[in-house]
Amino acid sequence: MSNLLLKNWVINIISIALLIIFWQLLYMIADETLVFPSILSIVTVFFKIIQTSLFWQTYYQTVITLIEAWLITIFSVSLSVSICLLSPFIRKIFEKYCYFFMPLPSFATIPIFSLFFGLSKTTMLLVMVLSVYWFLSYQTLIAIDAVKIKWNKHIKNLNWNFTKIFIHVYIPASAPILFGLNNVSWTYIWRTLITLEIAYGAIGGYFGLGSYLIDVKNKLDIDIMYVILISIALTGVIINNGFDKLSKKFNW
Amino acid sequence: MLSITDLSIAINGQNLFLPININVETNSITVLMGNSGIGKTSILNAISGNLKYNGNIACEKHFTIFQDNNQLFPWYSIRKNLDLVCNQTYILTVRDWNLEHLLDYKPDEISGGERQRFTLIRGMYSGAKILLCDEPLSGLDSLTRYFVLKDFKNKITELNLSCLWITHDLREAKFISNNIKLLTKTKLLSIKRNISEQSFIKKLGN
Repeated sequence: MSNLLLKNWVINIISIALLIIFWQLLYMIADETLVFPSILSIVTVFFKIIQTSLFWQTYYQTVITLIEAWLITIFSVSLSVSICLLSPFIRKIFEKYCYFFMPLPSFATIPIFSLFFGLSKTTMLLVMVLSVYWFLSYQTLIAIDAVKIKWNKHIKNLNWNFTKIFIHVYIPASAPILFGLNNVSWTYIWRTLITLEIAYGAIGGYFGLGSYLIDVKNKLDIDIMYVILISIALTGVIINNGFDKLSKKFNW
Repeated sequence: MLSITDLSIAINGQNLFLPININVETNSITVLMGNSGIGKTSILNAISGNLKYNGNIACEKHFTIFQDNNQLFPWYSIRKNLDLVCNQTYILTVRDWNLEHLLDYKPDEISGGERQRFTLIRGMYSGAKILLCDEPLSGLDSLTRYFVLKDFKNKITELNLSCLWITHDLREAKFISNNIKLLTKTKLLSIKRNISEQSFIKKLGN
């Protein structure tokens, strides 16, 4: 019995059931359908909303922006790290910048970027990338160091050129750490994106899930608000699950 | 050939041993023995270029088999690990050592002893002229170790290799070596292959 309770699917069912019970209790205690609609009404609205094109348009907008920001982040981090690996001097300078800018909340850069780009998608993308860029670059450099320390004495045996070492040793050896870092970094980007959408609502024609969330809240469509909230949470769970499965394949 | 002249290694400013000379001829196995912490592994690290030293080391292309038993890349199968490094056909030895059925496994899926044997094969067929082995078969049972050592000894001649082999096991040393060297703090002693265990322990204690 205790073994069964520890199974993943049992834990999932129990945690969802507890949430539903907790919600229903709140619904009954508050007795305020405007703020706490019943589970049944949320579920009914959920199936209605996912049939509307507006929901899928906002969903698409958000997910595409997430992918764009994630790709820009991966590209800029890879580029910075590669340049840092070329020279210890450049690396020292870069590490200094990481030290300066890592504690700076990326939201603090909104006024600067909006001076150049206004409150636009470009500003959003830059803020999202910066929410994780310094942290991810710094940690990637540390990960590569760890790989070098572990494998360098073995590599010396092989008399391989740098390209062969890079392809057959450095990339696969650092893959588990890089996937782990990616799992953390995409959540930072995701949170920043949703926060920006909520904070700024519709920006210059941009209308994502967060914008939709604040829009329905303003219209007091509270059922729909909860549905969007659930969609945001579910999207996070699905992406996280995907990355987890992927990183398990590279776990050596 | 491996030729070491006036080698000394200092850790935190302290010399591990007084300067020593070692020569390992082609087609021969020199066994290096000594108390734990005396500096045997440090000598291997110095030859491999992983540790600073004083003196001269002249060494042909070498392959070091470290004690940590984790030299195979865990992201590749054993076959790929061997194919990437070996430039000669290794399959006969793999067959002789009864390891052929493990070629498509990943290193984490086989035992430590099996990993050790594959690492040794990888070194033997890597194209290196000198093998530097730090207790490379410590994880094997006596029978398998005897069999592997016997074949390894033949392969050294067959493949025209030289080997510097570290072990703590006197019987293994006697069985495999052409020369046995005992490293102490003050000197490097040459030991006769017919030395008794009591005499060896006495020398080890001196």
